[in-house]
Amino acid sequence: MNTLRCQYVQSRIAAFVNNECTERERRIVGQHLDKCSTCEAAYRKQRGLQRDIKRDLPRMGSATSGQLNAIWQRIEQDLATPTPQPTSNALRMPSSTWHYGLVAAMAVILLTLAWFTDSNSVYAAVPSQPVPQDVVEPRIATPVRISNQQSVAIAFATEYVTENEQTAPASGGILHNTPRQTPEPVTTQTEVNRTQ
Amino acid sequence: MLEHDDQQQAVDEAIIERCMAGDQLGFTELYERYAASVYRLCNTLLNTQEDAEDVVQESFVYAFKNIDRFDSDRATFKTWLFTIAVSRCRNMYRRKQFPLVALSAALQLRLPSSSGEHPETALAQSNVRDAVEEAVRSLAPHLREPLVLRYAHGLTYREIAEIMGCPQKTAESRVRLAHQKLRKIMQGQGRSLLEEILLI
Repeated sequence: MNTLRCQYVQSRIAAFVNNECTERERRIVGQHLDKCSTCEAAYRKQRGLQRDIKRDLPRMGSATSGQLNAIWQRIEQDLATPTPQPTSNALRMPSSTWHYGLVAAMAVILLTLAWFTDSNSVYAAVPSQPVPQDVVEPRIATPVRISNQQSVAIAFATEYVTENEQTAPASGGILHNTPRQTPEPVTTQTEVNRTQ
Repeated sequence: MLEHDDQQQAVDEAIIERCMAGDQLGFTELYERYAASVYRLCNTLLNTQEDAEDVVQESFVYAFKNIDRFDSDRATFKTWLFTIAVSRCRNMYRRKQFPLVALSAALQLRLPSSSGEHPETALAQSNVRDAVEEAVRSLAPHLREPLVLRYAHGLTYREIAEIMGCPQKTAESRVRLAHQKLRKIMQGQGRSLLEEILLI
């Protein structure tokens, strides 16, 4: 029989033998072992193996007294040898470290010299901000008001005036081509009459 | 058992105090108390006696030179010493890249048979021991270490966890896993051997 329960029980047999199961696991495994001969055989093998391990491992690799005495003599020799001072070790740097340090120092010196002796300084190459120039605006054509009678006759001879000629030039603005935001106050004919 | 451990610890601490006060005989006493078990641990974890001897020597020299670093509140002297030894065994695995099974070395380490055994029984016992020994040696170090500490040295899972530098649950699960692996290995040895084990 090799059911899921068998697989579970056999995975817990080592823990069962070692008394490491929970109460619930122990009950499940124990009840199953009473019924299943395959798992019961696996349990017996595990128990036998554990017995062998407990019996044999403590004797495995034992030393003779001669071996232990020889090791003790070596230990005594080691302990009698003065330990090198850690400070001297800390101060002593390996030769490769000195070499790397020397190369790094020379590289820094060479770079510093090159920077000081270079006639074309790096900052000279930085472009300065351009000075704003007056923008020449395109001349926008504006038709001149003409009477109805002349409209046809002068259709081909229209006079154009530019925007600059009609309006006052912009004063003090940073952006010269920015159109005026607030229109000029317009004086109507009725207001002129009132003032008169 | 616990009382016995406490007594051992009290004796160890008294000896360590003497060592720290400059009494050289204290070191000899500590060595006599623990040399056999440290050697057995190293010899089981490593595969050759020479390596085991080197590691035992290194471990004791380190422990004696750094005896002032031992903190009895954190661990027993035995646990501390075993931690040092296991750490050095691991260095040795890395340095030498051991094959997991060294049969020739296993044969060197034949276990002493108890006297008064019937010759046939002794032979069967010897076969079983060889098989167990070989199977233990074939385990990966992270499984062999907790198994040896548990069954060859009788340490608790808490102590094993301290020595191996892992949680206690990990130590428990590794011992269980080692059991399962051993069972598979021993099954691979054939039915007759398993029957032998069960009959003895």
